[in-house]
Amino acid sequence: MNKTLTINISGIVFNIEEDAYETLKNYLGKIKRHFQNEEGNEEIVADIEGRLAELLKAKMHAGKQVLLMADINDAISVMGQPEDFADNGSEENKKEESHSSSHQNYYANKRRRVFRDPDSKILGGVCSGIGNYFDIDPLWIRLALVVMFFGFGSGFLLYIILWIIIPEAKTTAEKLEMRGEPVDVNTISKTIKDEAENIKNKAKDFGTNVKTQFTNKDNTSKFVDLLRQIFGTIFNIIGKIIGVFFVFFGIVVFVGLLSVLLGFGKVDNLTTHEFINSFAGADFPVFWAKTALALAIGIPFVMLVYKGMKMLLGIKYHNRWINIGAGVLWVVGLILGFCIAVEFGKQFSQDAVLKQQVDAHWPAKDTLYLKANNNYATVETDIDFSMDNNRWYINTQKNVSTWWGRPRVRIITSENDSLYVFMIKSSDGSEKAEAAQRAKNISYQLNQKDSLLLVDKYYSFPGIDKFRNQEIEVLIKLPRNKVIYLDNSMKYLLYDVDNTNEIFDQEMIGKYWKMTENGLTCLNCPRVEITHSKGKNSRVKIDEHGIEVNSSDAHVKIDEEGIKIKSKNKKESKEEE
Amino acid sequence: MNTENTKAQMRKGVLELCILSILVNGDAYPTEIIDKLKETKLVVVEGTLYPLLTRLKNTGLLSYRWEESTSGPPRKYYRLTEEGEKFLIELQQSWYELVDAVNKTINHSATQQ
Repeated sequence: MNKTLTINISGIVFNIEEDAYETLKNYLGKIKRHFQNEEGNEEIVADIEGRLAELLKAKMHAGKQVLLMADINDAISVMGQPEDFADNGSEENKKEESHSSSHQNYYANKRRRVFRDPDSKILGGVCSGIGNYFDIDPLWIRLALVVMFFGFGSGFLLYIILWIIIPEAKTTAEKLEMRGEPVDVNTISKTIKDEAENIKNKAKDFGTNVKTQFTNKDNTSKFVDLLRQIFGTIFNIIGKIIGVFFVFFGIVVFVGLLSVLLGFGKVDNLTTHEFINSFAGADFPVFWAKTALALAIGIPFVMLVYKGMKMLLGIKYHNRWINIGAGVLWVVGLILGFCIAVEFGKQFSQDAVLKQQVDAHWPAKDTLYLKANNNYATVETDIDFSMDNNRWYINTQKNVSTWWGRPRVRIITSENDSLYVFMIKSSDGSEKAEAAQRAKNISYQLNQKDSLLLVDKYYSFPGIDKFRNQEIEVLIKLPRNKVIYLDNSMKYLLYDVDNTNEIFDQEMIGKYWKMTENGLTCLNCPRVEITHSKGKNSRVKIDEHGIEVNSSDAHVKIDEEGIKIKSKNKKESKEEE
Repeated sequence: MNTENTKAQMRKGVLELCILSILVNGDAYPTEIIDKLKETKLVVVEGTLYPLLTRLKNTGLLSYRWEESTSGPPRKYYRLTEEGEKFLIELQQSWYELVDAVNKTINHSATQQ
């Protein structure tokens, strides 16, 4: 007893045994896939089905009711296997059929590939090739590249990269491939659909193969093929997306780098050129430094564009010399950069310190007031460039640039009962004398008027001196038991001032300090300053003003004015002196 | 050298010419065409014919009409279009030239041997 199915081929109804049906179904599936990319493939398949129906109908004579395996095999042998249809017109397809068991190249073969077009070229045929690939008039691509050429030569870079990675269409087959099925949204979606169908069919084939034949090796390789195809498709799409990202990112960085190197960039408010001039002397090898920078940073991003382009255009071919060449250039750039950095570092190898004592005496009153005089040339916001947390500035007035810096003011204990004030200028340089000259060129003022010691808020040195770590330190030696008041203007000038209260330099301002055995001691600082908070709305604050307790439903405050108690529940308030 | 393969290639090249030549004697449906080709051993399997016919039809050399059949689904009867006739004449000419040239070459080589 065998199970039978009822099927309909070209409008003729047949009863067919199950195993015969499977064979027929697989055969038709194979035919469909064979003609998949043929023009009019549906018609061909319909014609073949019609003929099969005719052949099978001929078997159903003399009271025979069911199609058997033998009938199907007969009909198939008359029609022939797809690989025997020596018809496809192109040699290529046949070869493809016979030499690869996998069908994965079905569409890859017909799909358009990118080539440089030697027949309509101006330079290397890059633009016309890309125009062919994307079905765009090459004129637009040429225009785009020319426009990009003025974007710091990125068009030129792109053109060279494309010239290198895109092969020229030499043979007729390549020229045909160049104009193959276009790559646009439609074909991409079709491709994906085809691929999915292909994979589905392969999976089906694989399923039936497992059932019918147990040649393990064959099945394993087919299974691997199938997996490879599935992942291949996924990776292909991901690869293209990554490719676009690489190209975009690479070009952006490259253009940025070039604009900086060509002097179009800005460092704060300075042009690249002015920036370099603020640090580097006339003997600095600007050209080589730029070359080093271009190679060390540029090469990796050029390679990024290169790889991205290859991914985007699906070019598999490798050029070993490109990779080696890029690697060598990169290393050369690094070495060059290193040498220049070492050479430039020598400019800082020697230092000079000029210490000079400033006329000072203890005032008639018993307190010395230390105050900063704002001597900055213009408004403080007029800064072209600043570094090290605003310790150094550049300001340019009428094409003359000047460096400004914040001095460091230190207060230590005097050895005797006199007040001493020192101004210490220091600078680096490649030689001692040169460093000393630079230190001398720093202009800075401080003077004493009775109880007021007025120090400049900024020192300055000419821009042509370049930056060589020029610094000013004001050293105040305060006698024991004397009091100094640190004005609020001293906020950023105090540097590493020892105090027994152990508070930060910037918090020492606005207070009176007495020099003791152990350093400065604050005379009007709050004894305790505890801020304690627990929970969202409760807060206990103890400071120089008094004690304050805040909570969601009560408020207690003890200060000079007395004691205040406020409560939500009991609306009472007490005030006592 | 694979003789079978070479023969297949040669057959393939002249198949279009043969189909057009068969149709010049009157309309036919694929099975008839195949039977004739099979007689001359030009075609081994029927599947070869269908894509060829479709292609010839799509390029405008052939046209077809449907005819009911008692022994199965309706049949496509192919006929030569005017364009197809012109094409056939051209093809025939170049075929004779080719045969001539090939024969001469073969005979020439044969006599020399």
